[in-house]
Amino acid sequence: MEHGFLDKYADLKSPIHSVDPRVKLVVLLTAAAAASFLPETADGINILYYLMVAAAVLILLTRIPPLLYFKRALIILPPVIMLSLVYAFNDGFFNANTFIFYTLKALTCFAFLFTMVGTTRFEKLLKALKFFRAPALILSLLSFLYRYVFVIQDELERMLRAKELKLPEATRKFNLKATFLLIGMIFFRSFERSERIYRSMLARNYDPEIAFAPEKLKLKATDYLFAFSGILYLCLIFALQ
Amino acid sequence: MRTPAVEAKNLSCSYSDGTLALSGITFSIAPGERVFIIGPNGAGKSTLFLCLLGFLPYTGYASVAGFKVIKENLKNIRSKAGIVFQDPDDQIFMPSVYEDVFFGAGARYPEEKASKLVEEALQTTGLKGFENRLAHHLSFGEKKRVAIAGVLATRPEVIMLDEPTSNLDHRHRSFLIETLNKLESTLIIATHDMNLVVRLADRVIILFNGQIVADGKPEKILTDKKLLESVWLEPPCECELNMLFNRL
Repeated sequence: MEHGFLDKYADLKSPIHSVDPRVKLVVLLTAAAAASFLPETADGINILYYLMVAAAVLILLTRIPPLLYFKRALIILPPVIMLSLVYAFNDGFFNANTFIFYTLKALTCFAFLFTMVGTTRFEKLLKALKFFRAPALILSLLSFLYRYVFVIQDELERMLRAKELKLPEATRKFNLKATFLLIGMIFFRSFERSERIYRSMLARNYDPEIAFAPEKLKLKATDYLFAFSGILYLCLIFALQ
Repeated sequence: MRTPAVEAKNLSCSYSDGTLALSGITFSIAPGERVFIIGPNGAGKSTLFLCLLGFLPYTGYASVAGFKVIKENLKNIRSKAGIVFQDPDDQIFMPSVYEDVFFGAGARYPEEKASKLVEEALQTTGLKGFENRLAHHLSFGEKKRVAIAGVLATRPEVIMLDEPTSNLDHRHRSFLIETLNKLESTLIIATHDMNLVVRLADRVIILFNGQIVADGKPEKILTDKKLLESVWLEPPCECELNMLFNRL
């Protein structure tokens, strides 16, 4: 089975794809952080506008179908709307401007992160994090999560398919019961698999400190250009307000 | 006398529920030997591997690469011996092919040597060009080859393979046999795939109900139809036996 939830488009060719993961990490995380700390003032709204333009331009440059951004954004939208509503009702009545501001702020943040994750292979992102001295344990956890989430997904799909074949005419209630049972089974199987993986890790003398192959990362002129223009843009929009 | 690559004397192992999985296992495997442990499902083949690598408690004596299988020696044993488990998804735990194959070699050797060994392992297993592929995008046969490459890159003295040809199609199977044939390490292979046995075995050990019922040359054991049927194994067909005699 083919999966590619996170980095399905990471192998496309685009100006953003070709940027070094470390540079992307710094510039895009800075942009996301800048967006997330904006206050709801006239200046803040103006800066958010410029950041939204930058995010949109970046997404278009990536050549990833923009529709995918909106599809992925749907996942974060429910908690974002909840939080925005909390802010919007802060003064006791509904403030539509506040609601829109906080929702757009979150979506802008997400756009920068989407650009970063969508254009970089996950293991390259981990290597970039390793370069910035992220704790080895966290990196290992992320790496395992990425590796095995698809294995579990496959397992669940196979079990659901088997359930469909065994219970073609089951009532909705029975179907629901069987589905919950399968979810329980997935936990049980995952536990068993984790035991086997742990064994395999021990058999290979696993050490999180040396888990990732070293890569000779060398910055190109385009990386410097991206870093410089990105940081300059951020500085300018803040300085001009 | 040379130190045996793997040795077991009166080795017994029970599961936590009291089931006796292995009983009085005794054998000695010389360096470079290719030994096949054959037996039906549940005979104790995988359990034997787990005991030899120190994953399951046992009674008796066991040594791998000259190290007695005790807690203090496990790191050394696991550096000298590599195992390829039956399900490659349990074994490939890094996101990409290169990362996974590099992992073991990188832990043992300096970066430059490790990279060279990884290149060689990828070449041997026919995985050149797969370096950047993600593990979850590979077929079962490809994953199996990645698991083998990961072990080969560490240059182990002893390689244990648990049912290496299970779920493989003809092409991947043939390629695997070719790959194994090129290796100079001591090979211990648990299987019930007779075709694989006739092509590679120097020696065959039959395990049945946790006990060794036969240990000897493949031409002796594989032609004993009565013995094989008594331990629920399918005797090799005539063409497979011809293959064996031609090889010998």
